[in-house]
Amino acid sequence: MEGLLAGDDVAIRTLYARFGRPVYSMGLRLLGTREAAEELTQDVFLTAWRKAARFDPQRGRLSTWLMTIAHNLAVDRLRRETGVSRPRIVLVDEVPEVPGEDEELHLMERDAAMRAIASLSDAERRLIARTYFRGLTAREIAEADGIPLGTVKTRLRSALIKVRKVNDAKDLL
Amino acid sequence: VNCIAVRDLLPEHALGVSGADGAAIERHLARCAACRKEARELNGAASTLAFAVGSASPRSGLEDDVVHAVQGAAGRPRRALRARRSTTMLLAAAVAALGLVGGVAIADRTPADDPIVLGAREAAAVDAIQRFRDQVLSGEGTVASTAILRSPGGAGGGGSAIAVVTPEAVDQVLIVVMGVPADARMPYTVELADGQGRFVKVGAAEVLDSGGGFTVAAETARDLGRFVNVLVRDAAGEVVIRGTLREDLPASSPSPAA
Repeated sequence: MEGLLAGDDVAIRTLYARFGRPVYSMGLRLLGTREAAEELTQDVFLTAWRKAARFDPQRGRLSTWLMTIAHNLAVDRLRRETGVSRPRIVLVDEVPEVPGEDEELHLMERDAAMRAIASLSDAERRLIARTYFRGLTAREIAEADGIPLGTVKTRLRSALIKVRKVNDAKDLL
Repeated sequence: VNCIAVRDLLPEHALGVSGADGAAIERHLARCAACRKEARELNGAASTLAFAVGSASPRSGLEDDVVHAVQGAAGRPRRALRARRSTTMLLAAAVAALGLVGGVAIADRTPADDPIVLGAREAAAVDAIQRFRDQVLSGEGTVASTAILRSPGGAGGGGSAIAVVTPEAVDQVLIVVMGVPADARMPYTVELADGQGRFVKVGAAEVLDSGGGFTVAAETARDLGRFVNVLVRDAAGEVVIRGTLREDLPASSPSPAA
């Protein structure tokens, strides 16, 4: 983090090697164009630099911190520019056949994410998709579906707790 | 905000959709260890989802762009974002006024065939920009660049732009566009380009006001100093309005009759 704060070339490239691709992929998924994904990627690393002094490893993992920045910036932009409309579907490139060290890490994280999502019911998956990937609030979902706001919030909490439990089990392996 | 209210909002906060409640939640988390623990667990779960989107390959040059952007920002002294808010408000007021004073004149396409009227109105827009630029230039080392925007083909439409490049970490730009048609060419997007293939997207408009206009603004940690070309594109990507940000006063276009 000190290297990032100082603008150190190696520190920035190390962080990019670790998170550049997942951040870009998230931008592409949520915002729908490569241009927007590239902009998001630059903004995420600039924001990380700006907030680096406040990063506390005792309060959470680096991946959680950085991907939260990425997701928040993407959702902000999604809601600002396109309201809450569904992002266009984007076909992403295939993962290289011979992954390097960072690629292996990405594959492990993707595997963990897919297992976590698989633990959810169909209804929970749809709910998560509408919030996390489309930027809808609980209130907007409640109004659209004609169900109580409290019900949506309870289901969101339940879904996240399921994901967390799968993560906890993975960490114990 | 108490613990009960915060915990009710934490799932949405973790999923990035807490909106206006986010700041209050963060303030509470800063002083409440119990809620912070729950937030950390939910945030960890939500961040897992980020890796479920598949893996796309960015172009190889993006890494260098990121490095240059961070190094460019790191080379500038930082100041708290809060200190910039007053400038943001000033800029917002300035450009809103530009829209009323200068931009409307440019956007008024009725007398477009009258070079004398057009020239006079454009001069009024330049005067308006100058006045507000003087107000903005309050910080040491701050540079305000302005632009008069015009349709490249003379088809009508125009506007004004002002960018504030500071020696600190945050630069800002506000752009007023007027007189563009509300038709199939929407949505319009506004970007700044540096002439070397790099750009900063300022915003987009899917709805126009009654004068065929819209305003977009951006605040970014990127150094906007080299992004001097203002481009307004239609849905097909065609540039319909453009201008160049300059530190000196933008000159009125010469009268076609001259």
